[in-house]
Amino acid sequence: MERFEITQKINTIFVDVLDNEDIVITENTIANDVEEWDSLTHIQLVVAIEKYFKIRFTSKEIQSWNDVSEMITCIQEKGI
Amino acid sequence: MENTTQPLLFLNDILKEINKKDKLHFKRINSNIINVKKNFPLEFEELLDLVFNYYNFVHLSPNQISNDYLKMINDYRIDGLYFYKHGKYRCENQQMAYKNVYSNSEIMSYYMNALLISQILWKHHFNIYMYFQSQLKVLFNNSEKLKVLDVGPGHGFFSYLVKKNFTQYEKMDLVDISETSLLMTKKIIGYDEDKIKYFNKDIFLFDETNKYDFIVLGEILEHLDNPKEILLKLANLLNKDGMFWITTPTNSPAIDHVYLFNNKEEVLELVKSAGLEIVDSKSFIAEDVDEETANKKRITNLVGLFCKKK
Ligand SMILES: C[S@@+](CC[C@H](N)C(=O)[O-])C[C@H]1O[C@@H](n2cnc3c(N)ncnc32)[C@H](O)[C@@H]1O
Repeated sequence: MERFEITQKINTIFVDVLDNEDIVITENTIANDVEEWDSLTHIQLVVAIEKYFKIRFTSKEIQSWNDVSEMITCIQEKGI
Repeated sequence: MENTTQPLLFLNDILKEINKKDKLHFKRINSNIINVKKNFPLEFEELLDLVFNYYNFVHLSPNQISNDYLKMINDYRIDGLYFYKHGKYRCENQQMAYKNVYSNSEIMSYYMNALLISQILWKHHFNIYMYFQSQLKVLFNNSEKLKVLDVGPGHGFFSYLVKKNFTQYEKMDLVDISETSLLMTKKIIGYDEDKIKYFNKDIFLFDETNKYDFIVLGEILEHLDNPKEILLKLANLLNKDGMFWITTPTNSPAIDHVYLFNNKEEVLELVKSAGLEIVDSKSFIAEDVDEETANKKRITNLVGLFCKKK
């Protein structure tokens, strides 16, 4: 899948999990840009992303993400 | 900077380390602390002092503390992933918790060090002390000669507040299954001639028969296979007019959490089913959301309640 396409899917997931329709995610978004994105919601985001793409991350992988770009790269590495 | 005290500087160093090592998590606790400090400046410093003195006593540096704390956060991440995926806690029973956690001094050591700092870093932890303290003053007369039992005291902050507010207390017994944990309690509460006694025991093997006026059961129920059992046992140790203080979190995945409460009502129901009557209760939610949202999104609600025998 193209990075752009993944970004769009992720956007839907962020809006849904963080309960905020105004969230706009781009490839350049970092955690500090999204107020509700913290270590707790992060886990909920990861579980939703895993479910949607039918993939699995290790806790090491998700620990290091601080921005959307890293997220996308990791999703692509899973063959998406 | 001039009137910044040593404990505050120490805390800032810990926060700096956390920020360096886990930005997402720093973001979460930093907003917590700003709020707590603003709402309870004096009380915050008082509890911070306790934490600071303990770490000083055991010679832990801000760097080590941040590492211990982030180990716990990493454990939460793993258990959280499991919980949000499967809707249940990963640790299946009490025995597994004992084997994997309480009996393992290495894990217990970073876990207790981490839990200690979380008492002031997490607003639901901190705020529950403020509620506890203000309710104590309403429910008891400060000259009462209380006989107190604290089950699984850990850091012992609840008993610390009882001791501070009820200087006339008659005795205080503290029972904990973990030796590591009890060492921390001893450092924080200290001794008071023979009024304070520590027991390194499983509460189910605690064979005291004299009754107490006040029993503290802070964050224990979620660690047990059958939480009703302990309530029944402790109710037997409570004076006719005695009071219980119970806290337990809903939706709170952790390495040693076994019993899942899905919402506050389930906690209250359990307490009532043990023949106890709720005197007052309050929710402390880990995020800035209302209770309904917390239940729906499975966000931790730390429930605190006072109850007595019917
Ligand atoms: C999460 S800590 C709670 C600390 C503190 N009371 C609070 O409210 O934050 C749980 C404590 O209960 C102790 N504990 C767990 N099971 C126990 C048992 N069966 N008997 C006595 N202590 C127990 C643990 O060793 C630990 O110190």
